[in-house]
Amino acid sequence: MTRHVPVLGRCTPARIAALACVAVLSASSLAVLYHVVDVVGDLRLFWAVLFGSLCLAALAQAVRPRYALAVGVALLGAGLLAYVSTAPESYTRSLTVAQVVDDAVTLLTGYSVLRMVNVLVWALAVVPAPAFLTWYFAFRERYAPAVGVAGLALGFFVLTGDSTGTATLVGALAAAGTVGFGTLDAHGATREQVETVGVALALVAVAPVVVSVAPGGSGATFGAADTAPTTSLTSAEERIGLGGAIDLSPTVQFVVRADRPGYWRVGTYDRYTGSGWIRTGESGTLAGPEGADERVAQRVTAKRPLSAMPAIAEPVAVDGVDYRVTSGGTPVPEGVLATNESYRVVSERLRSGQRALYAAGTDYPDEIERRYLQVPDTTGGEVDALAADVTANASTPYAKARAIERWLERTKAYSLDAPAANDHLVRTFLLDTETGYCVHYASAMVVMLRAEGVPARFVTGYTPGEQTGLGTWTVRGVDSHAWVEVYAPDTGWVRFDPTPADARINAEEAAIANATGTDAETPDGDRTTSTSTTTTTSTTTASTSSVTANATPVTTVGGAEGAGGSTLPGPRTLLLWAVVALGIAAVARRLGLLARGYRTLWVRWLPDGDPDAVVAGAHERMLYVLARRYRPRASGETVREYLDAIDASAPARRLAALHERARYRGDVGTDEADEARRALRALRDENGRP
Amino acid sequence: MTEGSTTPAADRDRSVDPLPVAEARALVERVTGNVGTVVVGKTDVVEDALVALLARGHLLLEDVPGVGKTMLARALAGSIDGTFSRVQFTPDLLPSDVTGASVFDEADGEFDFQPGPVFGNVVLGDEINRAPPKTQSALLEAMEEGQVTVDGEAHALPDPIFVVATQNAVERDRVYDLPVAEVDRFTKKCTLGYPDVEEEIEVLGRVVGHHPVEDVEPVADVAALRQARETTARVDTAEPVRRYVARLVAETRERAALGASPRGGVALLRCAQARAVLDGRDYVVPDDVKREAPSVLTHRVRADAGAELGGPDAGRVVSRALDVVDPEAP
Repeated sequence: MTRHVPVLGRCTPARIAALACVAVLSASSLAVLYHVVDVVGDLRLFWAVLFGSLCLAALAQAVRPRYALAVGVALLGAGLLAYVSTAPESYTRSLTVAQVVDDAVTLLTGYSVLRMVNVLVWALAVVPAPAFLTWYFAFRERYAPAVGVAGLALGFFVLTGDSTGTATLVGALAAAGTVGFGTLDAHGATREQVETVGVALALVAVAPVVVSVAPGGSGATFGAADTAPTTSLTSAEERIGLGGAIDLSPTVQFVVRADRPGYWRVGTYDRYTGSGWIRTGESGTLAGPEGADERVAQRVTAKRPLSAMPAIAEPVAVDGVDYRVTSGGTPVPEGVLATNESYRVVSERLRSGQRALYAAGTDYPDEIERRYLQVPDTTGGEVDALAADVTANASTPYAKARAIERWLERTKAYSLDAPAANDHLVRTFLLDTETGYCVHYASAMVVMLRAEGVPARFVTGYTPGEQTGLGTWTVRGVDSHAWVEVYAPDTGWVRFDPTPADARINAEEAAIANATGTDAETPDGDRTTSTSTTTTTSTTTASTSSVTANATPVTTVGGAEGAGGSTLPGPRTLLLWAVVALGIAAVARRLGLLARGYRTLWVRWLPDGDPDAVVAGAHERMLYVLARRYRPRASGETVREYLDAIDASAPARRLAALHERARYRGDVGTDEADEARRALRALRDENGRP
Repeated sequence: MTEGSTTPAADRDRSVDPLPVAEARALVERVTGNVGTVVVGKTDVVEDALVALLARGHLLLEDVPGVGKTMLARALAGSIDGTFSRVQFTPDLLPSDVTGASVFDEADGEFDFQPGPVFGNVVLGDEINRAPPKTQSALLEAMEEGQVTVDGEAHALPDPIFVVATQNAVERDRVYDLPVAEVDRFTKKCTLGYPDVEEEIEVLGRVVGHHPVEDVEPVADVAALRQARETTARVDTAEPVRRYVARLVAETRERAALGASPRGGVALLRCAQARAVLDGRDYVVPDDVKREAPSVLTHRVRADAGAELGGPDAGRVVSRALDVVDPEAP
């Protein structure tokens, strides 16, 4: 390609606009990785890697696209190799192609990348390739490939569910803008034309809002609706969003028969993302604490469809339903528990748990330290200082936990109408609003403990609920709760609850009374109608059983749609996939990749057949290989003349001679066919490397 | 004589055993080398002459006088141990001066046929364009039919017979240009041209005193030549090659006022066969055709209605056809 390499400094309005759009598009996908690195690692690493990639892109301007593409692929490959090499040995040992494909499919069907255990290495590994390629192409004014690469990256995160609606919309607009401005730039457009494209883009952005305002319009607004529940696009079982007003429904969720009540735990979460909690990893085992001295048997009967299995910590045995165990050691049903379906669970606990923590040291296992001390980079600083201040007089983990628990109960105000979510929920709660509910308290305590070097995790579930008979507890939506577990070496997880109990109970009672007045008692109703106190972040409308930003940890599933949706991707997902696949195919076709890919295979695969056909096939492939390496044969040129003109090598001439015999004499046999194959192979080897 | 009789199979003596290709090639190389001792430096033209000879055709040389046309013909005749005769065409030459005539023998009271100069293995028709058309056609019909008819009696010409006719390229005002139909009978038209300085020095060194053409020793015989011609006739011409020839000829017709005739296509294919033999192959490849096309086709093409037959424009028509027609087309 003789395309000129543009000067980096050339400034036209269209080019500036196009590059700005590339920047926005690139940022919209890198934002996800930025967030990941923020959550689990050091942001300086991210900036260093990104800066290095951009420098490489700037330096590589003189390189031809195909080599740059090779560099990009190599960067990605090297990164993924690094990721695999740092993965736990148990993972690498069982690494097969099927496993990799399976993992990829899992990721692309809404498995947030944040759930990967080793996500820091992964995120840093995948930053360079798209950043480098996008900017390489952008600097070379090849906007279509730049958009293709960045769009692919963004599309990936859309499929994993990590890119929010707003970011995706902005990215799509930026992609359209890049192509539009890039085309204008290539044709030397005037300022007016550039502005026209700008206006069109703005219209695209604004139109949905306007349309939704129109009577009968069904367009989705972005912005307003976006603020509350965006963080929980995936199943709430693995991910909990925070903030926003909370929905406490008086609907009966389940009934427990047990010897004694307890906190009915549903899920544990280890990774704090700044705006929510995520459980990393895939599966774990049920295990009781060391030296457990109490066993509690419970029979739990669902009173509405449940996708969780509440139980006192730590459950050690479950029967009655099919279930699997999360990496947090909690059971979840396979599918959904139907109304009145019940299961039996046995839990073990250490009666003297808090005392054990009191006596415990700080000799934590590596695995615990790796998982349960993570705090996002951007949360640190003032929160660290605050935690250090609060625990100034505490020396042991237990003392620190007590100090933080008491401090939170004393100084923060309980309110169900917490301010809307943002990306730094704990920091906002601790330093700014100082108002929140159980999720805020528990999150804040976990983050502060971690800042002090004490492994802790965020736990959701239900408080004991209302005793409705001898050994029977009825648990409602308003009983949903979040608390904290602190790790004690040699003992296990010890429960702490920093939420002020009386304030919480008052709020719950108010909610129930309110509901009684308006909505009547619906103890066993299938309805999920929420009370009037809150926004209805409804669970019924979402086809992928998602619990939004409230604290309700049990996913309530509305209708049959959700029941089947847990194993197969829903129709919407499939449609999205189809659109993406079509788009990729179109781009590939546009770039001639399909044809080239086919040719590459075609050159390598010479079918068997009668010797004449084999020789003719080999000859045809030879001409193709030589045409790519040198130049195509001219129309009036005989093959001999052509080979002379390009000064072809011996295998080419041997193959040409065989072909002449086959074509003009027609007496080649299998020996000649084999020789033709060998010659073709030799020729490919010669010309395989550029 | 019909056009059909010019096909390769029709006029060949099937009783002759073909030589193996390698031997035919060796024979050609011997002859080429031998002629080369007389004609300095013109290997290409010597090869062209042998191609025409093997293709059972005849050669038209267009040249200025004195570049060795006669030497070429004589050396060729001497090399194959054949007879050589020469006809100097002049404006007053009569047909019977070429073919021979029946002469009344008073001793036995009968007409005896006295063979003319056309009875030879290699016949040099010098400055053929200076004789009137009637005389020209006597020679051309003889070489086409392989026999002459005098006074109702057919007389077979020697086999092989190879006519080398020359045209004077200068003094164009005192010539009778060969009509298209007659030019068409020459398989190839070549030009010897002047030697370059080095060759000329060599020529001067050789010919002063004793002319080397007197010393040419035969390196083959007429029988072997007949066999080599049979070999040539049996060289394989695959369908793609025939298609290539046909498309080339058709292309000249597309691009010129007068394109190459079907006889031109036959001549081209035959010459390609001969070229294959020169290369030691028993099958024709497109390169053979491509190599022969300019010298076989050009003199049959008239680019524009008013243009000279076989002129520079005709050469361009042929080379353009060669550029356009794909020899590898399926």
